[in-house]
Amino acid sequence: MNQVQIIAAITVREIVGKRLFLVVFAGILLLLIAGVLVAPLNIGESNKLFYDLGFAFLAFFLLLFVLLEGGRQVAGNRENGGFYWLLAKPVKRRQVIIGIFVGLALLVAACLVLLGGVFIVLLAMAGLPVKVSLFIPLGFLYLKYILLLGLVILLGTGFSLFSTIFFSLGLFIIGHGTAMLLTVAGQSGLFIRLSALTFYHILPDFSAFHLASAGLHQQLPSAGVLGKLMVYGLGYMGILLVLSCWRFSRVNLD
Amino acid sequence: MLQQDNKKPDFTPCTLYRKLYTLYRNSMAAITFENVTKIYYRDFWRRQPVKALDSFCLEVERGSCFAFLGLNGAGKSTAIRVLLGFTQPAGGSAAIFSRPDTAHPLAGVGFLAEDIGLPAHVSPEYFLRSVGKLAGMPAAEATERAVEILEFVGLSGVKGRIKNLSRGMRQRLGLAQALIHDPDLLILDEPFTGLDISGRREIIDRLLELHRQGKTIFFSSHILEDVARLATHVGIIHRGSSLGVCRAGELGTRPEEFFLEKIGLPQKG
Repeated sequence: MNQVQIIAAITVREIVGKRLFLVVFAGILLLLIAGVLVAPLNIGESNKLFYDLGFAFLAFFLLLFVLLEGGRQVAGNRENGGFYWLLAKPVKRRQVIIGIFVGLALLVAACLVLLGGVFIVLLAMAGLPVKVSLFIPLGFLYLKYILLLGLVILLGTGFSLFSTIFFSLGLFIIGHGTAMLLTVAGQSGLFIRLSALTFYHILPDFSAFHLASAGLHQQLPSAGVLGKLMVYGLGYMGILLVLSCWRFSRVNLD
Repeated sequence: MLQQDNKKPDFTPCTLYRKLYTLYRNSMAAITFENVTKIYYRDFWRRQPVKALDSFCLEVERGSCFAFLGLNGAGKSTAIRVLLGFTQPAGGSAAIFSRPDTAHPLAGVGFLAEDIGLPAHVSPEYFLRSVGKLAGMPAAEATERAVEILEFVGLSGVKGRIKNLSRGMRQRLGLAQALIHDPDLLILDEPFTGLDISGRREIIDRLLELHRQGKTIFFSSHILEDVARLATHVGIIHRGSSLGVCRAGELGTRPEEFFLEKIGLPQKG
């Protein structure tokens, strides 16, 4: 096992061992089940409501998980001296960042598979159609949250835990409305137009990964568009990871 | 073919002597600090600089058990963090074993931090196994060594998560992770924090045993009684500057008085 794998394994074991993680996981599971009971109450739209609730609960859990655990694993450990024992071993700082990222990304995938699996089973139990087109939005939901994870880790290398969570959440919310920046750019003077366009190109476009409704109505974009979106997500995440490694290699752990 | 050069040859008796002396000194030294300066800023705008280390110089001989003494805020932990590369100094340099840059500088070092932030939700054995593997041990050897080292620090048979261990037990576990890969040099920042009298005595005995095996131990402590029992050499730091090094025997029967006199604080009576 190399250093990255060992650090990823410690990260996974540390998080899975937390009771809070299991409690939140169980809570989301219950919410998904509750969705089965609630959906039929909404006459005529029960299918849509069920799908929407399911995706909303999944997204809510992943958002909580990525913000809190991503923040704690980097910013939290930086603040409470949790990196000293690790960095006193023959380990490079970039291996620490990549190890933490891999561990958290694996956990996000495991949670998504488990909760997504339960969601699909509940769909089948409720007699709702399980469409293959639903798996694609789930895949892009994963890409969206590991992109957010990259952002949280980058911010965690320089900010406190609170600031990391605060700014990450802020960028996540802004990232859902980057299209509005284009509108602003179109209606403003040169300076604001340039600023809005710069922000539009720099900030991650999280809204692009929201394909749940398109999946439900079988109106997914073409394979080419989806491929470009995947390259965009992975490329952006790669850049964030490289920046995180670069930043963490230079940060003073006082 | 020899190149014609107007520069003087870098091989005068004086430079040769200097180079040989540096080579000799590096072969004897386990740790060297040379004019290390570290500045912290009180606020975000970097307006109020505070010198945590001020042209700090120190040399620790290989094979010694070196106590690093100083008041709170004297710069002990900062010096250790600079030494381990956790933080960059504003000037000067600190080196361990004077290793060439190609090897990982911390390969033969075991470190116990003052605020030891261990992972809380894993078992001590799993943690030590992982640390062993990080230090380059094969999985089977790391497992074997984890059991062995848990026994050495008095934690054999301890089950459950690290979170549920007492402060003293966590300190012992911190020492165990520093020892798992059998390092030549141990750097311990306040190793007796959180330990009761019997725990301190036990850990001192263990450290004496390691010192007899030939390991270099560099530790900081406030407890002068323990320093007198354990150390062979003592270095004092005050307001970021070194006040010199002496043999532990010079502490005498009243180490407190010796220490206070060195740092220039008035003594009672």
